Amino acid sequence: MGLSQHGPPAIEFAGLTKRFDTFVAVDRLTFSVPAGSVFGFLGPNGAGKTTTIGMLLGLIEPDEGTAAIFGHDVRTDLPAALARTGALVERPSFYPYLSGRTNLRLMARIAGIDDPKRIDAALEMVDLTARANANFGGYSQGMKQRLGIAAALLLEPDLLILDEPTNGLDPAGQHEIRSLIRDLASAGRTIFLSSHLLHEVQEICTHVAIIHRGTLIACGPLSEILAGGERLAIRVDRLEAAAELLRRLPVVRGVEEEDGHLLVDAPVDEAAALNRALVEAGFAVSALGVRESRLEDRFLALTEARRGEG
Amino acid sequence: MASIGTLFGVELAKIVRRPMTWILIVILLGFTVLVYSSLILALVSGFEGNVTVEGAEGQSFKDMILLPDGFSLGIGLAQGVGSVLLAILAAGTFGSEYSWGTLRTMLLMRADRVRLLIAKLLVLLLAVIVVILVGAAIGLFGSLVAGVVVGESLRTDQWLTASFFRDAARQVVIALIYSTFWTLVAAALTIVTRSLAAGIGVTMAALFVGDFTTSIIAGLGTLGRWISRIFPNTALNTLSTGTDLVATDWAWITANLVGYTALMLAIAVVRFRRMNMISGGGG
Repeated sequence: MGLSQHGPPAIEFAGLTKRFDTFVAVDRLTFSVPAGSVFGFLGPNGAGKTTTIGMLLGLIEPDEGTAAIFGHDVRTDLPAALARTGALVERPSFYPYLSGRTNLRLMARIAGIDDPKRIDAALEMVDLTARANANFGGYSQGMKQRLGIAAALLLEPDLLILDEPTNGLDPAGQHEIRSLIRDLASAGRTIFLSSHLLHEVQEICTHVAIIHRGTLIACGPLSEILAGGERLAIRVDRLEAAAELLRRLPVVRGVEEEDGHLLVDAPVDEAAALNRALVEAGFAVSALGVRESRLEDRFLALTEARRGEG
Repeated sequence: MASIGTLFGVELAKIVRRPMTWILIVILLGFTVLVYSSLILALVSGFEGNVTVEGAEGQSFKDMILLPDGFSLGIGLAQGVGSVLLAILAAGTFGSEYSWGTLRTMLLMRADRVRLLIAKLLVLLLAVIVVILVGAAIGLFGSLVAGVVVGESLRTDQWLTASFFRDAARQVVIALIYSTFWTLVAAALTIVTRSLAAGIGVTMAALFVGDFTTSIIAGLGTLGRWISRIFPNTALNTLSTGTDLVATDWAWITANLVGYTALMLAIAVVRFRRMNMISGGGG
């Protein structure tokens, strides 16, 4: 997998806005998704993720701004925009009285797909062949999600848009879907993944955008979003007194206790200086390491900051 | 992008496989068979000396079931009961798709909204034609069976005539107009409200309460008659029951029905084209 440096971005939003009466669901959203990336689209429940995806796919009419897929504006050229796009939005929706296979067959007819092998291949890819002839109404949540992804894959898309694909799944089901997404990404597709499960996004995404109350608050490669978020984890005796000492040091921005450690928000290259300060003050330091930045922490920090502003 | 023909094929496959369709067909056929069986039984018991069906009253009762007049019974049942069931089918065609979210899935498969709407309406029109033609066939067959059961001749001299077929064709066309109208009302209301229950409920209210209300208004003298002509119920009922309609009657009936049909189609198209297909709103 690699990011394409040529051609238009897979997705491009410019000033995209949607209001429901006086409520602004999406507010002048502007960012782009590089082709070939696995892009995590994050936000708390109600942040405007699904509304944004709805506008991107022509399911909701925007009030202002534009959304484009591979350079095709969805408002003026929806068929071209959707030509290379497969999507699972909100929840997998099919006819409960028809089998998974028949549902896919009908959807394939609508999409102009004549080759029945494409249906078999899509079912195979999501590991649903064995239950393909059972009625959709009797499927478990995981099977429904997989059929939804199979329908999106029928179109052999270059861009796959997945809106909360692991919603309602047990841990095993979530793991299965994550593996499937990794496989799909490794085949060179651009994946646009909306989720509020941050560990999931951190595991599989190369880029992220975070929205809060319809507004973009961060966007970029995952490594950049996480950069500077590492903390020093120090195992030391007399935690409270040690924390008190560290808080007085000018390089320390904050100290927290977690699982018998002190998590110190300070430049990583100041580790030796902090260690020396503790030892000179008579503390016994038994371990010192770097705690990698977690997306969850960055997300909470960014959204909390916005909440404070609001 | 899928053509209207392809979408029509998909819609037809869905409606044929849908259990609701077959439940409605069983209700229609069961009700019709029940009505004919009851009438034939009453006729038979009358001929066996039961006082309930005899003399002039018995003859008139017999004429109602046997051909040529018996044909109207089958068509009337198809028009009355069939319209209610077709309205439920129309509301189900749109309402269930909203609640299941399947309209969204079809649009993600690159179906064009207007073509999809046209395909759905065409399938419903086909359902109307099937119901009315089945009603006509049942009317013909039931009356023939009734004739055989009560030991009457088939009275072919009375109905195997050009005027009978002209009249039968007129009744079929009127039944088609009547049922198509209420089916379209149910479809348009469901599209506007996005609710199966609201689509069925408001259509039934417009059909039954509308009939009742317009008949009361029409009884309030000349002004009442003119006011009642604003409502489609009056136009449809005049068309169904009127035997000596004059040119002015045809003019206001046509204007009324064409006007309402155009209005409903316009509302359906505009609403369907711009409809938010995400249920969660701001999520």
